[in-house]
Amino acid sequence: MTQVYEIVQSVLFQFGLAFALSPLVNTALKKWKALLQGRQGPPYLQGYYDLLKYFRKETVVSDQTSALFLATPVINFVCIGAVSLLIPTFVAPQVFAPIGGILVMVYLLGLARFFMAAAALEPGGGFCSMGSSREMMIATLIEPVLLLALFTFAKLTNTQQLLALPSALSSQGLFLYTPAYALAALALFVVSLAEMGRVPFDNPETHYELTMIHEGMLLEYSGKPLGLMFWSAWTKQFLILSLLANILFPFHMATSANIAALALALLAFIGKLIAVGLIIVIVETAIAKMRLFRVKEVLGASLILAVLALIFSVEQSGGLPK
Amino acid sequence: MSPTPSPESMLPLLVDYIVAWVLICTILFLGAQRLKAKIQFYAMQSLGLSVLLGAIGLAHQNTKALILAVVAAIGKCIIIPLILRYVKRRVPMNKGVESYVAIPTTMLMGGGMIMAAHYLTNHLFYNQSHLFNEMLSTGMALVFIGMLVMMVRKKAFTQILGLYVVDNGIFCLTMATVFEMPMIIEMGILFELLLGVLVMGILVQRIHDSFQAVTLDELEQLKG
Amino acid sequence: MQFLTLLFTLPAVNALLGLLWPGHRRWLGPLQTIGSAVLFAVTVGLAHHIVTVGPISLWQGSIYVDALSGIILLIIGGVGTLAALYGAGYMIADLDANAPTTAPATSAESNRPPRRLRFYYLLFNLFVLTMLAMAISGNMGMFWMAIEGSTMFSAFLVGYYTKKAPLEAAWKYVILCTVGIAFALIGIVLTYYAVLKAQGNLAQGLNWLYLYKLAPKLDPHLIKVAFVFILVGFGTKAGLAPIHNWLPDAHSESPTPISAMLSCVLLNCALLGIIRYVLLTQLVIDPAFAQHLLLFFGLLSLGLAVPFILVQQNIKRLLAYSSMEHIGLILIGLGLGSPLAVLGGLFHMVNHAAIKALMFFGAGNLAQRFQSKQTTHIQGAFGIMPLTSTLLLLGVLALCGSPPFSVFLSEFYILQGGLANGHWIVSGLTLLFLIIIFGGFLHTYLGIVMGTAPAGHHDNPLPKGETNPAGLLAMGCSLVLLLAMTWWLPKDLNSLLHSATDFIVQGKGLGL
Repeated sequence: MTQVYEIVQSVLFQFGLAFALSPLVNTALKKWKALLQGRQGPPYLQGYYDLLKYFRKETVVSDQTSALFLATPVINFVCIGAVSLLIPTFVAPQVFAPIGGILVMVYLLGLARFFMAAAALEPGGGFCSMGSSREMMIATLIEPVLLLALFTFAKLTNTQQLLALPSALSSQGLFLYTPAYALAALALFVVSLAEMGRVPFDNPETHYELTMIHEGMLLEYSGKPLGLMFWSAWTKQFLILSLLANILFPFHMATSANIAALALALLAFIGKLIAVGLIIVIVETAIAKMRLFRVKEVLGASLILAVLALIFSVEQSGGLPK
Repeated sequence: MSPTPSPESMLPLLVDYIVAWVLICTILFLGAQRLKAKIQFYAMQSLGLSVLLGAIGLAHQNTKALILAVVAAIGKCIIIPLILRYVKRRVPMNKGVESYVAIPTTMLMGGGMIMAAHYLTNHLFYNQSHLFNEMLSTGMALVFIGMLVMMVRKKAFTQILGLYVVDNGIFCLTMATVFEMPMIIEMGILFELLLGVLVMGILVQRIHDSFQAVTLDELEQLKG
Repeated sequence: MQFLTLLFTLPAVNALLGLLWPGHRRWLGPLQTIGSAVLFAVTVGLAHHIVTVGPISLWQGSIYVDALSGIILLIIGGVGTLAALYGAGYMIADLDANAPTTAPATSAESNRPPRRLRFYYLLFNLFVLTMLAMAISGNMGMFWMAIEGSTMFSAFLVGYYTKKAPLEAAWKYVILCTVGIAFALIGIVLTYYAVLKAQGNLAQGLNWLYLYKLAPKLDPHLIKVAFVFILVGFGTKAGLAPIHNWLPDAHSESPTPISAMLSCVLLNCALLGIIRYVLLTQLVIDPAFAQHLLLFFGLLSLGLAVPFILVQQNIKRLLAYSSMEHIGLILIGLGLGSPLAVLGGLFHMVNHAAIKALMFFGAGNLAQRFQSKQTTHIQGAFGIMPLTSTLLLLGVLALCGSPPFSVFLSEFYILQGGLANGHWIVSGLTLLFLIIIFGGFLHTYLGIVMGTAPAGHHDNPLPKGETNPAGLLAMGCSLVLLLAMTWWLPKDLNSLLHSATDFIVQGKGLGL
């Protein structure tokens, strides 16, 4: 019985919530950034309008492409959907935990990225190929940092289940805020910006040919596949945001099935998302987009941060295993 | 673990944080593209170490350590950086850092050295306390990284900075092992450091005046 | 006590005199020489005091003057006086050579010592002061500060000619020695840590005497590690083989009196720290550990000097490598560990100081006259500077250990001490290296003295005659000293050497 209940919870509040809220969250980030820069910004529901527009449009596909081109948006969507079941939102039902932890999440994202980059090569357009080559370069830098940072949390909490992370972290009370945690959180924050394709690494709002990465890969898509691609990208952003929120503020998760607890946790979750979103918006406003070859320096620095974090976490748990 | 920290458990946590601060400053020091930033990161690193000494002095209620911490902070965070900046301004050199090895690579090497220092301390002094290990490994890492800077960076000026990072490493080692040396010795060491930065500053200036350059490529006349 | 006060006030007075002297520049040199001679007299008096009364220990041993310090003090005072005497002529000639020709040479204003000469004497005396501090410090920390201070003060002396090569040499000198000293500091910290772990008295924890007394309680592992750091650290300053790179540069590029001070005095002062620590290690752990390390570094320095001496074309660099060779020899003597060899090593310190001063002075005279340091340019010196050449040739014989001079005695003691203890390989190698070096030196110097100047280098033949009578006097003094030490070793020096040997070999005089 509890298992069925947890499956329902999972599908509703993880999978469902992620896909339902992600256009709103993306637009909200855009809007806040605009407000911070003294502009009006789009209306909050703009993301949904865009999706509707894409799904109503005709799909035009180059005749040079293979089936992979059209399969990719679906594969992407499925991968992100699977990831959504592994990442805690305001609930963390353990029912899908046996699928895997940190590694599965990181490599599901990697799989999605691989198909996206491969499909972008299909039509043979110059900008698409450039986008995918850049994407892969950044990916090689992102993955080790992401893994090391998450391993630090795993080491700190003795679990490598993302779903179990928030409760394990929050059980440590104020002792949570150790250097290992702080360093890993910092590294995770930097690498999340890169993973979400946000400003110092990529700019989701422009199509400037010389710098675009994610947009470049989507250039040849149109209509429904394009909508699907955008939706998955936004959802990925939502998922990473919620992971970040739950690691930075691992408190007030819903622990019982009672409605009041769920509502309270949902409110707390929204608060956390807004907090993380605001931090990101401020960071994005404060710094300019980086030249591509500087990206590897910043990600290298965050790699060292993650390594330091891991060292400190090993120290904290009493030295290396003998 | 109890959810609320007690005063006794605060010191290790604080030391953890300061050590993390020092290490981050060191990595940023390695990664800095400009000499000015390098000097700043050196000052911040020294500040971290001085605060560390002060914190331990407070915890042990040791007045000598507190005085020393204040003097070290004044000497290493204010006077030495000021002299270095003065020299940098006096000598019209290129403000960037020139290196034999790419900067990101040196950062990674620095990370590797921190790991190596950590591994070494854990295996050489395995039955010591957590604080001892942590500060010892930090000190060793600083010594290694200072040496690295002296070897891979091209400018004579950066060699001075590397030397002072080595010195900070020894400062940290001293704190970890003996906590404090006799007052007069510590003061003497600090005085020598100040003297050293003056002498080297003047030398850099003279080298620049007669070579019109301060990279070490020029300093290769004397051989055999 | 009054000796020690004098010991420190004299160089300070000399330094101020050099900085502020209002009269003619020609008087400054002789004045400094007199000051240094008085200092030498004080060191002799101090040595006599040590011999007759015993070691002086002040401030709970923070200042400790024993036979070993006595030897070093004598070297500082003696070579200091010789260098001042030589410098009185050399520095003025040097100024005249580099002076702008248009300046009116007669006005009182222009006869005042120029700024660089004032700073030269200021730094020279401060340099002497730091080395005196090294000799009498009974505390590792103070020793460290003094040795670092000596680097700082002598750096500008090395870079006195603000040209490219001297500045490069000064830079290498400062950087390498400071890094080395940093390593020594790690060694000192580790030693202090050992005291802490042995629950010793921390206030005196770095005093040599206290360390010797505490030795049985110290953690052998820590002392071993610390010794390696100390050896590398002070060894950098002493010019030991793998870390000697600063030595030839600094010795060849600095003004000649400074070359002599660096080579004859500074290296010995740095050795003092090593010797004192070796004694500590011998009290804590098996003496073989320290001795083997000393032998290794000694042989390495000696062996590495050989090829450089054979191919060297710069007359002062040649002497610098010879210093490296002799420091190696001293280390071998100390590392062999038998009383005779240790005595030989200590005696060799004194002899090397005397002979190397002579050699540098002669080479300086030649380089000044020929305006070159290349041995290919300095040829046929006998026809131009007969006295300098004669003294130099005798000096080469002495330097390489020919019998009538006391260098022969000390080298013989070392070899004899090694052979008597069954160190056949070490002694054999040492002998082999010494013979090769003898050949190399004789070859180079015969060319310098007897050879014919290559045509075309000098437009007009160089004027004949000596330029630096004071320098000749200094050279003559060293030679007489070397001969005197063979036949008639001063009684005080003899007993200093013997009690220092007993101290090193058996720890005598510690009350152990």
